[in-house]
Amino acid sequence: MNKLFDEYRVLSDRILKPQDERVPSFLKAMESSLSSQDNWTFYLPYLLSLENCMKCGTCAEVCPVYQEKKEQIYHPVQRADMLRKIYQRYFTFTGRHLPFLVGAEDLTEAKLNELAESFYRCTVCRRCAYVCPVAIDNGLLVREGRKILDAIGIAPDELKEKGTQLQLKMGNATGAATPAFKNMIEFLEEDIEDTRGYELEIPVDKEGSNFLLMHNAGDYMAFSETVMGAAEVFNAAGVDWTLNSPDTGVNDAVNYGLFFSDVEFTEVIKAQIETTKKLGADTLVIGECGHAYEAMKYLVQRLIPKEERPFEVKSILELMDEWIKQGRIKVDPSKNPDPVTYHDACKYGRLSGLYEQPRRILEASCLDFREMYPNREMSYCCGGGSGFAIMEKGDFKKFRMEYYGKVKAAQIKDNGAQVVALACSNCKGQFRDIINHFNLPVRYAGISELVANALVR
Amino acid sequence: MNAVKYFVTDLMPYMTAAIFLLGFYWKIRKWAKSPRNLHWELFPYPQSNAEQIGELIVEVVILHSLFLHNRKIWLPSLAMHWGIYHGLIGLLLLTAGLPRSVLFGFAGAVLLTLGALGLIIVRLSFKELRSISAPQDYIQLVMLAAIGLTTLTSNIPVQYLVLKDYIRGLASFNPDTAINSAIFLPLLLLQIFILYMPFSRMSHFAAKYFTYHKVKWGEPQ
Repeated sequence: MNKLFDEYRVLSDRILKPQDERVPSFLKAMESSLSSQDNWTFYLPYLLSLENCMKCGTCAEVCPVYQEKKEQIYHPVQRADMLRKIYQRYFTFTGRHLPFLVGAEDLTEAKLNELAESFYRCTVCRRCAYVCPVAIDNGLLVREGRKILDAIGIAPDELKEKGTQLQLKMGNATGAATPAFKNMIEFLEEDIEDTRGYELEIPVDKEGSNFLLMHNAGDYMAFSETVMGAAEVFNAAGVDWTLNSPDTGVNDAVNYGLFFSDVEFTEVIKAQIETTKKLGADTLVIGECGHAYEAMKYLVQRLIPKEERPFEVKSILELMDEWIKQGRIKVDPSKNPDPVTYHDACKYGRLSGLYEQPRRILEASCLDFREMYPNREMSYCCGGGSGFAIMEKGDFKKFRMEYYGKVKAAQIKDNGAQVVALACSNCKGQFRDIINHFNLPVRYAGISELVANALVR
Repeated sequence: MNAVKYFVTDLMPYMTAAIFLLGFYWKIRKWAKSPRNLHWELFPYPQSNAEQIGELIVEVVILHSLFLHNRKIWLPSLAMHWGIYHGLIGLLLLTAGLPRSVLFGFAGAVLLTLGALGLIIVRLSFKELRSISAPQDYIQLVMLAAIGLTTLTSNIPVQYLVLKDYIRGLASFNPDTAINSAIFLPLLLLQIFILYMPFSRMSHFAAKYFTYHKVKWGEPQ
């Protein structure tokens, strides 16, 4: 596999198809993306971000990747300009007639390769969009670029073949069928009994319950402590709740379409809505998964009419926060004596506004909660976002560590916490690697896990 | 020369105004008629109208984002923007026949010149800015600096009364062609820049309404 602009290659040749002629189809797909009918979902911010960047470079001042290495290829404007230059050259009067003046450039196959690879080096954390004086969103342009690439058949297999498509076929992106899923639940019940010393039944596929809890299905295998913790908390709250198996439809909260395709996004969210309706739950609770919450809480709103979604959507963070406040669950912070810090996942924080809930939960259930800086809306993306946490090909894990992980590792070292509390699966995947890679003397934990540990029964 | 002068002073202002207004109408209409995009706001955002207007004023007056996150271009950018604000206030005062128009006009031209030149220097000095800049990025700064400089060298205080009559004449569709040739150059440059605005990202001041109100700021919660 040839290198494109540095030593990494997240998109393999099988995905990128560098031997094919792709420029004409790219331009056709881009033309369609510039139509307010074909691309109504993000037409306005897309157009505004294509046309109004002042090239002041404020985005670069806050981009964790650019600040880490100061390599020009990671400059947010440089990246977004890969798309802007095409827009100007082929779709504007000045760019068509005076390209040199505005920096418009012809698209070549080589440039298309670089664009594709570069657009999968940004987690779309939107820290840059938050500080842009004109509120230009280079992250959105990256996502729009990925949509165009997907339309011509270029999308990472981790997100599409083994992501959205597997999820739509099997009910979850892990490919676990119902028998395997149910075995896993039994195993988790036994595990809880072994570690906590009490029996707990985890309800599955119960119809008409108040709460349908949908986790990121990857959590069942990779972060089972979060799943067990949530079960303990729901059990302690004494509420009517259930998990669901693939038999009922989709049992995975993830929606990787969010990262690269509105078409895939819509299909997945429709399947999730159908499943929730079928089970007749009053509230769909999104487990510890940042992008799933953003998708089901916000992006769905203008996509699917309210009457077609006859249920409430809540994050497990909102519920635990309410239950602690109401005294429905009781927690003893001395059961979590180690210093704990919280990492604001981009999707929960900047993109969904859940800043206070996790903090209130952690302050109630841990003895020594301390902030890492910067935090909240200025939190650094850990590098697991946009599905990156599940991408490893082409030495990509090393990229995630060296370009994103380093700054996070430094933040943790500075704050002296022994536990990093995380509310998002992608963050957990990334922190697992960061802790190993930088040999940090800390462990990570899900919020549910910490709350379960502090429960007073 | 007389024909050129007549065109620039007597005809072009109306063409400029018409093209400016039509251009902006076309652009703003396109943005305003866009389908409502999916939620894409960033948290936290100001909730009430008062909070939103407050944030808007702080951003416009002191360029708060640049101050916080991009200090190296903040001062020249602030000078340039304040130059434009002062120039506009000066023109308004002049047209209304109120005092201090010369002071505002002069301060505006000084700030605009210094700010635009400062931004050119900053843009050339930093590699990361140089590499994202196209000729257009320099040309528009040079144009602004040239407007400021030619205004200063046209000796505006001396031209004050002439300019006042000229603007009033324009406003009453009866331009005073006796305008001094010293004002000719800044007038021409200013009009070229105004013509350029709607068709370039110099319309960012209008775009900001949409990027903030329709995208970055969500609904009150």
